[in-house]
Amino acid sequence: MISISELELLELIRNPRSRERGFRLLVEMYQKRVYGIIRKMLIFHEDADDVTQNTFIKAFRNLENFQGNSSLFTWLYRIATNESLNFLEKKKRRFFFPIEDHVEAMSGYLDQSGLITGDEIEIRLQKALLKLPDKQRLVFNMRYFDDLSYEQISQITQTSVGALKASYHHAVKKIENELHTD
Amino acid sequence: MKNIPNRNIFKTPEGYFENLPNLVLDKNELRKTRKMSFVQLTAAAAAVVIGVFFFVTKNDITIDQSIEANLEQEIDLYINSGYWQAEDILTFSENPDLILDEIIEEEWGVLEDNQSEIETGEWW
Repeated sequence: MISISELELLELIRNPRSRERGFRLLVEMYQKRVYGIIRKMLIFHEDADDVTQNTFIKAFRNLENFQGNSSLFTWLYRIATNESLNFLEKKKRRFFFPIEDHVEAMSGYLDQSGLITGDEIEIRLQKALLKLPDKQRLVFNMRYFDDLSYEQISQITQTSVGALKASYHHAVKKIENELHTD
Repeated sequence: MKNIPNRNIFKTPEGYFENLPNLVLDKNELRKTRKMSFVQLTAAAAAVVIGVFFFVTKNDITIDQSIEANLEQEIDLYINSGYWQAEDILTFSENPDLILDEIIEEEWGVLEDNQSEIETGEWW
């Protein structure tokens, strides 16, 4: 169900006179969370910045199709996660570089970038996460870092709660093995 | 897993979120202004092609006419100066017989007119 503030926001956007103000408010309200989920997937700030902007632009273009079956936040999150997964898929499809290259680049960024502030164990966790399939990593991020409920994740990913629980527990086992191996 | 904190380790450049709404809105505006309908694009392309076609053909005709005019002037100059004789000009031609036929027809045409006057006796 849509919260009242989301309804007011939608009204602002649907009114041509207040449309731009509505768009601006939409970005201001959700930018940190949208950026957060994208950044956790893409690791590089520059990539996350691009995809975040594209997510909001896509939202602007498709708000007329938003039917209110979910919250505006869930709808936005769905666009963000799809854009992130598509972005990663495109990166891995480069024919001249093997699939590990981009994962290695992300791992290197975790070690070297000034925009990463984790301690050793946090960096190791992120590197272990990079070894998971993208969708499994996404589910883990949403559950572990964003503290979303399985029901919310189910709405976002259009996956059953049971499948999500299984995916998450499997991911935890893999990560624990990976961290103990290191 | 319980010993690993779940805090956010991904930082942004300073002022990133303050600027992001402007960046998104500007990018959205830019995309809207760049977006043209397929029909408009096709019409613009057709106009360009037609314009180039007319420009090229017009310039070709103009060039041909100016070259032809210059050549005629040069030929007259050579003839008037005596540098070229009638036989020289005939040899330049691909079909000198045709030129002679045209000259004869032109000359005899006048002669035939005169002949008719003779036959009717008007000249004397």
